[in-house]
Amino acid sequence: MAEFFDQDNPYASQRRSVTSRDDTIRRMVENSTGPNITTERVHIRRVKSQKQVLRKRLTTFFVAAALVGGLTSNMVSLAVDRVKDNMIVSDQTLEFKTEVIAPNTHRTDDNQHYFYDYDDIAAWCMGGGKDFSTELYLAYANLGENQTNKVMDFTPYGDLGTYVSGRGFESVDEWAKNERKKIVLMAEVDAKQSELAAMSNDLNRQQVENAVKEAYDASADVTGFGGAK
Amino acid sequence: MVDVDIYVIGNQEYYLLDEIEIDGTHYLYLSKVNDEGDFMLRKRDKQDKDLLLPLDNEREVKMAALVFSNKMLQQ
Repeated sequence: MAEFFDQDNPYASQRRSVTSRDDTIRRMVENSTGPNITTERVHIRRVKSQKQVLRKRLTTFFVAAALVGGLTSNMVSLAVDRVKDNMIVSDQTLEFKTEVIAPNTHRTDDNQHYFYDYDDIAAWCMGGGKDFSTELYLAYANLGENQTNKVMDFTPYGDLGTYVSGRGFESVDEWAKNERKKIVLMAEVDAKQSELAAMSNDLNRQQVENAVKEAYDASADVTGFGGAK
Repeated sequence: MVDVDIYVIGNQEYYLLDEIEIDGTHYLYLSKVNDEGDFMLRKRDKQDKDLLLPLDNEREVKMAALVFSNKMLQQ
């Protein structure tokens, strides 16, 4: 009955959102502090999970945590897109760290600091799968500006400041922001392409199935057996 | 594919989504494996890192939740 009345009530969705927000807060607080909760010794096992699954979990957790932390529902909806974009960029930054930075990292003799094979990192940036500017951003996101300038010594572009100003940016920050946007856009393009490829496969499969069915039906007309009649 | 740790707490399995150190205390952000809408926060005992403690009160939950959401926005 309440559902029925809610359909005509302009404040119903607002009320539902407040209720769901309250529920989220109550549940997280109860789960984290509840009277039945005791101290536990950790039992851990490590599993492999798909990135998308983990991203979805993180986004859902972010929404709940932001509500619990005091953000309004409207602020949270606005923030979700930004969080999703951040996750795409940080995934790629981490991937670059694993594939490029880690194999080219060494400890100094006193074990206090690190140094890198700057020439190899530069070679990767110039010949990597993405465009140079994006690869350079991923190096910058991992190493910071000072170390990236040492990488730049092995490129024909001068230091980072010179490179970004040559590309029309007023600062390294502005260039970095632009590269982050580019990474997100490229990821969206890749996702759309995968979607299209999957749709095209489905379509091809459907066409093959239809052709088989037509041939089967046609044979039934001739032989009197089979067919979907 | 990525590696993710599963914590077994009270016969329930949770993905460890993040761990953040706030003022010397390590907070764990956990999501139940078979219910993505079920979340939980825990903190590590300072002397014994393998021991997970509940949070003290709602205020501490809100503080830890806010730090996590800020981190996700700033990343």
